[in-house]
Amino acid sequence: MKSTVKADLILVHAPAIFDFRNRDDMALGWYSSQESSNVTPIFEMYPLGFLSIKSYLAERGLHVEIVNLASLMLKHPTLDVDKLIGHLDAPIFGIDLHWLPHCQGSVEVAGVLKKHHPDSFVVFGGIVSTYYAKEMMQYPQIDGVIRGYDTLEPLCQLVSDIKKGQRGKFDVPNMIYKDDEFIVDNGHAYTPDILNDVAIDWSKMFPKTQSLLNLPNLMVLPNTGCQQSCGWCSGSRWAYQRMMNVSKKTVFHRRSEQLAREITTFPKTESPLSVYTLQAYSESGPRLIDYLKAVDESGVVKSVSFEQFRLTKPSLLREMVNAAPNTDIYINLSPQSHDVEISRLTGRGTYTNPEMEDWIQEALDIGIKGFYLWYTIGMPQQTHASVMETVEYSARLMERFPDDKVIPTIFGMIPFLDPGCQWFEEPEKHGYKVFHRDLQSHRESLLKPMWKDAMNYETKWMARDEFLPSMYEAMQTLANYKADFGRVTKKSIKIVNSRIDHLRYLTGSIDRAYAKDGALPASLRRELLDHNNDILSYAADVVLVKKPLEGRWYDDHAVPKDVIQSCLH
Amino acid sequence: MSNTVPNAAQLQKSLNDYLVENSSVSVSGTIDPEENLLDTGILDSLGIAEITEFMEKEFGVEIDEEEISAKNYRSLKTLTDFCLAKLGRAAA
Repeated sequence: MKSTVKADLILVHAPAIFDFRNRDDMALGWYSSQESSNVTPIFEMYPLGFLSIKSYLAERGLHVEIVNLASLMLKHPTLDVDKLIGHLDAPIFGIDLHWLPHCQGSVEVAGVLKKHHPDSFVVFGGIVSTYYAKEMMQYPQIDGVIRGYDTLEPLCQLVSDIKKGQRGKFDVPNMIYKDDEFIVDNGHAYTPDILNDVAIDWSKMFPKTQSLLNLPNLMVLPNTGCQQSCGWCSGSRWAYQRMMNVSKKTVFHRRSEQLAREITTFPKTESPLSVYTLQAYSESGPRLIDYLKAVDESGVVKSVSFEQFRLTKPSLLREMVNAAPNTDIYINLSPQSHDVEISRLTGRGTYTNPEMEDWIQEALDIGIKGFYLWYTIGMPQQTHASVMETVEYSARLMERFPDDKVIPTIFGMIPFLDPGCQWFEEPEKHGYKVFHRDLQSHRESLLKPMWKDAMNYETKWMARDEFLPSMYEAMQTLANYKADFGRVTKKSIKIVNSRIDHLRYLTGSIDRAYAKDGALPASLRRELLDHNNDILSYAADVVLVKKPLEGRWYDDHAVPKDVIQSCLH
Repeated sequence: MSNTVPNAAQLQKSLNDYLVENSSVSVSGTIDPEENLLDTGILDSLGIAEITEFMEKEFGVEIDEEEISAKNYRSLKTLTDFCLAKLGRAAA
């Protein structure tokens, strides 16, 4: 009997680029937030929303499977994707286009799904899908898009309707879809006050024997939206008011009961479990304390990280530490630049550097374990010189706070400025120039050999071709400072330096070859192929170390081994 | 790689010295063999990858991904025992 993955709904996570394997026409490197998370350049992490969908529909008697195609292709480079997709069996396939770097791969994978399952409904969701919903209807392989920050109930309704045999007309809120040759728009009126009213079940997300090369970490999302209007962020108040059909209320919390339920599913792992708490800056003090108490009482968590927007009051920090005596607490702060004026223009800048440093010292004295500071390249008024001054300031911070207490990181906002954010919508007003506006242009840009052609913006203060060299120089200089201050070992710094030098050489070679001949010579293509295959074997993290491409919460749990084996060349 | 097979004390000292020299947190001259290297941060994710490479090169053992577990890497003692077992198997 032919083995299949069968469900009422199969959610498929596509790689950023399809097909990314054996490419000799581009250099895969560090891009955007990839530098800050444990993924490769093809972004194999899927949105947490997939897990919420699975739990929500399961509670209503519907069977959902999540197939992480990106992760499977990475782990099994000879995987025959057509054959694998032939093994999937569902009346609906859901694809995430939440983050823009997936725009090329997600639509291509939808095409493969439609080829093998022409009668199945292919539906998209996510922030970028919401923004481009109407344009996405031009692709024959996409049947519908459900818009919004919470699509649990509309998707549940769609899956129930299709399971009952309904075809054609759907009364699903927030959905735009095709009915024969007509496009039907059901509007965007479903904006629930409570976010994702369900608890994710983490209990089976990690293998029993967890390799320490991939320490287990999971994420909790207590809310969505924001009260702040940072100009570069499509999750900001400004962007939500324009994209999500909301007005005064722009932050949507999950119920505390659901967060508590979710925490009870955290697994006991052999290795220390870390929890990253997204968007904690939109949480009230009492909710933070309740959350921390529940995490601490679970008895399985070693450390928990919080994102904070302002300098949290010391009294609250003290309460946090007291609430979780057995858990290490880390705080993530994103000043974006050492220059307070630039920081203010990004929507931050509510504190000066001396104020931040004094606060860090006080927080450490209170018992906060450490701080991650995030600086970004691509901000208003930010020149390359300013970027390098941020690196110098980061070095001074490491000198003042030894022993891993403060870890600064800098990365470039490349290749994309988020559609829907204020600077994308009103570029000239903020000193920005946007090169790609529609979805198709973004999709094509990701396949351009010259990296700068992929960038969808530049600023009055930095031209497109300055970004990558600036980012490489900043990252390399900061990494070397980290080695000087003992944050990374001397051996690791050699790897980082050689990796960045090689990327610099490859991207430079591509640019020169195109400027001279308009094409890539065979010898360079061979080098690119070797580089790309090599870099895909790394789960990146901040420092490049080879890690297993499995065992992370977002790796594939759905496709049986025998199916995978039958799909390998 | 050393030519002779080290005994338990030599192995432990070698691993101790490596950790003192290379850990990203400050470590005094001698690590308590029972001290939890993972909880204290003496071994973080990068350190785990590096000490694995160190053991492979220094002692000539081959370590599978599955063996890079908390059971084997928890303390200096478990690391030493693990290395000894690998060396024993390699010698057999």
